[in-house]
Amino acid sequence: MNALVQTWRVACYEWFDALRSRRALVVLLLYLAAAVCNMHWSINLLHKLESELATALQLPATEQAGVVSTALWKSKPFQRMMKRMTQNDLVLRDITGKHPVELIYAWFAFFYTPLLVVLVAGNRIAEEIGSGSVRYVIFRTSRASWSIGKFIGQVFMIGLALILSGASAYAVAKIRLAGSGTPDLFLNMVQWSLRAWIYSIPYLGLAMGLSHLTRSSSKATVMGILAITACFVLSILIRHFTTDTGWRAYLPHLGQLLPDGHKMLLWRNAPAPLIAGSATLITLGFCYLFTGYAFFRTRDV
Amino acid sequence: MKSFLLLPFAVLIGILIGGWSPREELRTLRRELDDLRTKTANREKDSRFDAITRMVQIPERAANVPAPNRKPAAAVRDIDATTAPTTHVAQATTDTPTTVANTPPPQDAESEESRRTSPEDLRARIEEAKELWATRVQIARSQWLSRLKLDAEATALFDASIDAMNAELQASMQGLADALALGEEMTPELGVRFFNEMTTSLVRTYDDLTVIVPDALRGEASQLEITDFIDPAVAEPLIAVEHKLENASGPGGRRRFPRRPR
Repeated sequence: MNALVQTWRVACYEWFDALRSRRALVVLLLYLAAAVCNMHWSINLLHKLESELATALQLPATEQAGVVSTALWKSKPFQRMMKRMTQNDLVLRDITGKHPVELIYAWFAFFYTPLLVVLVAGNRIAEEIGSGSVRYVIFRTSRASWSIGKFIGQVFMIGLALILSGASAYAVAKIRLAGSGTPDLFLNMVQWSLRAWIYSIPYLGLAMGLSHLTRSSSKATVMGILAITACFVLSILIRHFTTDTGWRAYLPHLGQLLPDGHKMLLWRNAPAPLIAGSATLITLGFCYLFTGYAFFRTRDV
Repeated sequence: MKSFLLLPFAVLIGILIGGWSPREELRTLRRELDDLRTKTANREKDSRFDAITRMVQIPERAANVPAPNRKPAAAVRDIDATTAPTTHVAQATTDTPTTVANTPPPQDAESEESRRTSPEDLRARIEEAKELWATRVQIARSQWLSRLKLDAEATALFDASIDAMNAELQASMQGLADALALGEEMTPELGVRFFNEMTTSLVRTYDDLTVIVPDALRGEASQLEITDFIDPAVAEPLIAVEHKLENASGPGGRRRFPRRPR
């Protein structure tokens, strides 16, 4: 119980330190800027695409983006095209009919969140080890509590930033689009933020786990970026080289150790894949963190 | 705390091992599903052969497959070629000996033998359809005789008309089989002429019925599904040239160019 209290105190201090140093504000601004800019540009792009499509189909141009796309979702040829693109019938079935802006936000959130996580939190442990400030903390608490506390503090900070970014993206969508300012869209966009948050946890664990290995914050950031790139590349390679027979048929099992192997579960609507995917991703996050911690446990700080 | 540190690894191992079996099963099922979808998609691309077999009420696959070494089914009924209507298909094969039709080309002998064991084999499908047809046609005949209120003389004429239709259809099939066995290609033109010949036989039977059936029941007679009375055995000549028909492209889709106004 004592260890849990210590962990909680470290997590709280991580928040207090972030607020005191304005770091929290920077993180929040970074996420808000990413979400707002992404939404603004996406709507612009969508509107241009829809205008071109309306011209090609000899239809009157629509003033608001999303009208043509929403109608397009209902057409069978478009659904077949999306089916070929997603290569996953179940995901396609779940996302069919959703507002295009919502899906664009979801896609971007899943894309940029791991990158931002590594950039924002990748050096948190390394800089304290490098500055020596960790020595004052580990007199009062265990190293494990300190590592886990910092991780949990960062997890919640990123969660808050993502939810606020989802709300701000919704605000932009409401201003730019007619008819999309429904409560459904707001809830859906916040929901996608939560899913992106879950998806960011293993990357946060990976970045903070690697951060245990060095005293240099810049090295930790570079290691984090390299690790996340390796994860993406490995996922692509596994998908590419997987076959139905032989040893390559077992490659997808290796892919289960990477966050990307569970990403599509978070795009589903059914509770079973959502819960299973979330539990696996959180577990992966802790596994990555504890692997890094294993090197830090006996290290002379 | 130490045990807590090991907990995520234990959970991860549990997830990996626990999920192994369902994932493998899912992978197998997905592969089977993909195969089935591919087969269905291929089947949707109707071949001309499918159109023929469908017309003569032969199922797409046999439920019971005959033994591979089984002898061919009963020989084709002797049809006097001169009694068959003179058409393009028949004309093209007038001088062809009928025995050619039952001799598969030597290069396809092995594949023919292996195919003969499959439920998709035409022989198996015809055999099965014949068994079903015998019962089915008896029921249909009784129903229609009663519905059309035919007397003994009209019934005899009705049966004769149906027999004549089956004989004509078999002659058409034999003609097509002979033409293909001689090396002729299954061109769209040949296919259309063949279908025309078959449908002409059916129309002629409807014409016969209008004479046989009392005037008051002619409307009723037009409801008769004449294809129910087609003996699947009429397709037996096609067994020898099944491979050629399967490779032929299906009936054309929409007309690409509009017809000029007359």
